[in-house]
Amino acid sequence: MPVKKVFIVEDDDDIRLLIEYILNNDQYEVHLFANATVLQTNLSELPNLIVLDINLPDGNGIEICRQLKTNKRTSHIPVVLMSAHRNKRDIAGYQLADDFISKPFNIDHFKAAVDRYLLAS
Amino acid sequence: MTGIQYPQDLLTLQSIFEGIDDAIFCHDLEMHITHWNPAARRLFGYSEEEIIGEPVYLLIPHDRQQEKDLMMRDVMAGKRIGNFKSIRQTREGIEIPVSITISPVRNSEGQIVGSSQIVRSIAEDYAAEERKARLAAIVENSDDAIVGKNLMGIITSWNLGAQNMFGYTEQEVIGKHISLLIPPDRLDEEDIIIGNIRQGKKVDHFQTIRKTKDGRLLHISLTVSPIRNGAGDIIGASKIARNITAQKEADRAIAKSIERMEILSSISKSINENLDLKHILQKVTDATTRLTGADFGAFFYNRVDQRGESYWLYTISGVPRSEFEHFPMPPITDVFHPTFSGKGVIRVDDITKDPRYGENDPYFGMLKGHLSVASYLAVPVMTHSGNIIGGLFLGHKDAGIFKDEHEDLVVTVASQAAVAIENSRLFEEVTELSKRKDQFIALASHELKTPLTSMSGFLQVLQRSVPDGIAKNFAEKALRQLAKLSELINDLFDISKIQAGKMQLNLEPFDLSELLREIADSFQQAHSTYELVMAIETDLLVNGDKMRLEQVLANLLNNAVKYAPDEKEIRLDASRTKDEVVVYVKDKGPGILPENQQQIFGQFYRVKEQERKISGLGLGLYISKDIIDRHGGKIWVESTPGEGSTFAFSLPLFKNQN
Repeated sequence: MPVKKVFIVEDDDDIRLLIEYILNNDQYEVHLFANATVLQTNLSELPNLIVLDINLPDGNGIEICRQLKTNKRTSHIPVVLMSAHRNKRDIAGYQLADDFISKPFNIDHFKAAVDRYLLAS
Repeated sequence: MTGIQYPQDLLTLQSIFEGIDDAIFCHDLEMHITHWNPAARRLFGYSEEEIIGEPVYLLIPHDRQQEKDLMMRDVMAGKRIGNFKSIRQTREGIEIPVSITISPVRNSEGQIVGSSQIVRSIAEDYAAEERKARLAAIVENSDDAIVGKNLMGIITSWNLGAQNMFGYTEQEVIGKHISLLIPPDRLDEEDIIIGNIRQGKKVDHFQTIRKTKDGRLLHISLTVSPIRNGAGDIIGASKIARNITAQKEADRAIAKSIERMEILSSISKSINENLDLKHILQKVTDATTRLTGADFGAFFYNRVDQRGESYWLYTISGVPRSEFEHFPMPPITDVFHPTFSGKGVIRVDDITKDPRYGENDPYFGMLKGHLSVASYLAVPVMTHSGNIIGGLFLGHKDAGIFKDEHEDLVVTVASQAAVAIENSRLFEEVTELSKRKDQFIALASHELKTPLTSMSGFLQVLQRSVPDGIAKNFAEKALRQLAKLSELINDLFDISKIQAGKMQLNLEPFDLSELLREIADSFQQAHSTYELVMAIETDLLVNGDKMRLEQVLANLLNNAVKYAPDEKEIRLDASRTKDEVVVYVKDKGPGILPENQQQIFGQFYRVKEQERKISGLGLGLYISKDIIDRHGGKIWVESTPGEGSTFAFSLPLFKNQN
């Protein structure tokens, strides 16, 4: 069984470092991208989960999520949105995503949210 | 008179003397009264006893005593004076008009020994005559035209007022038919009036038009009454005509002023109530066009876009917009230029004859091939600081249409328009600033949370990896402070959304009691030293936004902790009435003074006594109130200082349609 992969798209270096630390284990691979463009170029091999920051320097996470969900090739991949909004309901189009993480987050909750998609099946 | 021969005759004369209605008295040559009949007593007021032997001058007003001496000369000459009109005075000094007949009295020798006087009061005749004279004077001098006519319509009398009003002299009209004064289209009226008069009816305040000698038409108010002869038969009519032309004109002027006032006030209203510039200026253009009676009006105003480039906008009135479609802005012609360069108002009776006009196209500059303009009125629209921001242009195809009053009106409206434009610009600026503020706060809250996220994350990692002790304890404290910071940022963001009216509720029916328990659990976890005492009924169905209601409850609970830090018991109660769900959060803190209870739900309000001790922006209750208000509920506080506070809110109970 191939190792499962999660793509993290987050422009802040320290938050990427933090997420890498939290998710560091041998059960799945964590791929970190600093912006939307890098994500797009690395979609040749599809991940099992994408965690997307909404405010990216080169794009809007909601828009990227919409593209992923409307593309047949990627529409099956769960997407977890991440933003400074207190509640997903503050975000127009939040229904497109499978889950939402509000920043700042509890690291245990963050890991649990990722594990739910990668370890469940 | 024959000599008195028989006592019977004497008796007869005596009874006549006493019974007659005329006053009769005699006096001797010494002018002392010798005889006095009862009628004399009645007329003059003196009794016989009083007056016999008294001088006759008692009866004569001081200024007429000479008259008596003159009359006596005639009497002494044997003459009789009949019906001499004079004045006599009574015992009370009242002067009465009288007719006097004086005859000499002779003795048996035929010598004149005195005079007899018969005096008749003519006070009534006199009064009637005076009344008649006075009436005639009134009629003659009245400003109203008073005209008499017979039933054939022939003029029989004509006063000075009629002469002044209609221009005909008495000699010119007496004997002429009344239709002389009636305009041809109103000749029927006379038949109707005469018809009424024949039936003895009066025609009152009939407003009509009559014609003067020189052909002018007058608005008059007519009152026509029948004239009857002594037998009561109607023999003619008297007409009183009052010239109400001035009144009519005044009425028209007033109506016009009222219309203008209404238009002006509607402009003011529009300016005050409306911030949409296009709408206001259309109104201003329409109103000035109407007020001046112009064929068309146009309002050009200068706008500066965000790149600092100026361009022209306009509104028009009186002509279809298509007439202006190809017109980008007023060309800088000699006609237009002065208005936009602050040279003041330009009013020209005929612009085609103006020297400035000849230099340029002969068609008002902007209306080539469409509208011809002679009368021209252009008023600059200027701010208080004197900047020209536009101009109002009015035109009419005929010359000499615009007068002083029109110019005044347009100047007034132009100054109001200037206010409107300035207000609108300010409003746009404020709106723009407010939008940028909201964008800034949204960005700021996002930017603030990014470092907060990594700090919080690293601290959590630290807190989990260090052994129990001071380091772990400090990490926990730091995390709690970070959580507060994060809440403050959320509050700021919410406020900007509330003010921008952008806070949306996501309503769904749910059981509030479940949410309350969840919140209680997480509260208990976070504040393990506090005891949360709960009495929560089940089935508290509401139609609400879970997240926002959670926010309200979290805020109320956190306030209880914040403002009553030493009291470890907090009560959370929730119950249901017929139509409402009510939730109470009760602390045992110091309470809130009555004067502060109303204000604490205001923005940035913080209880002053505690301002220094307790952190916060004073936004929590304001946001909570906004959230509860939007749910159609109420939020309030009950508190007695020293006995704690109870914050409560109610929400409408959700009733399933089924």
